Amino acid sequence: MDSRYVQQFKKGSLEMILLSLIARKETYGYEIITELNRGGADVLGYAREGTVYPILYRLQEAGLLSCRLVPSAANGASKKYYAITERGRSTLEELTAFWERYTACVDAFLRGGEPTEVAK
Amino acid sequence: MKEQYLRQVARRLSLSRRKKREVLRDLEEAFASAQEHGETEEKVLERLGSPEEFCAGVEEQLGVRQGRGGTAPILLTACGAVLLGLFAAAQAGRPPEGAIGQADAATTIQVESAFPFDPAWLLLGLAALLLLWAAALVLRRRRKERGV
Repeated sequence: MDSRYVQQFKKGSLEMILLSLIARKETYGYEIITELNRGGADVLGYAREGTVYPILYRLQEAGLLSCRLVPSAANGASKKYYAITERGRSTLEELTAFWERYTACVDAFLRGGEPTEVAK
Repeated sequence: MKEQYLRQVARRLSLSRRKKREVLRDLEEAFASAQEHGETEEKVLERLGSPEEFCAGVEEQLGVRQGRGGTAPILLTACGAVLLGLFAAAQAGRPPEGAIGQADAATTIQVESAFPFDPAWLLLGLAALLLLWAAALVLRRRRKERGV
């Protein structure tokens, strides 16, 4: 079980990771979970529906994602496809830019040197 | 197994009717997709956790207030305060109980009272306290919402 600090840290990056996954292509819940677990289960921990789905709802309510229901041929069930919106794309850009400055800054501190002045 | 799980989640989940319907639909989709990809139902159930765990997780992520909350306590307190205030104001104008008549000028009759002060003021004070309490509840709620 991760310490509370690591847990909080992971929560913050999960939104960014989800946005980047969905930005690549329109996708649905199960595919998202599979991708997450394929890419980083050992670091990020096992992705579960219970954690990921609510974040998707939040992102959608914030207007960063859009979704549409596609009826499934076989049993009358449906599949919800998520796509990234324009606002989602610009937010992802903002987050990615920040992430790069952030990691550079934290790295510098951890290495014990002077934090370099990162170009704005 | 799956039907039982869905039923238990449906029963436990405390969300708005619309959100609840959405979560249940997504859950059904998760099972269907897993089957499509050849994943066993057991594996999915393992990943979802118990119905209690699943519901708690979803509710926590969606920022549903755990335990006490809602508009009811705030509204009731505010109403109580307003009613008390009106009552107290009405009392303050009235002559004391048992007064035989109103004097036109000051009298020398001293009335023994259990309280050293007019009970109407006590009620007014109580009303003010309740209003403060309602305000505190609203502030606490706002702070919690910001934290989510």
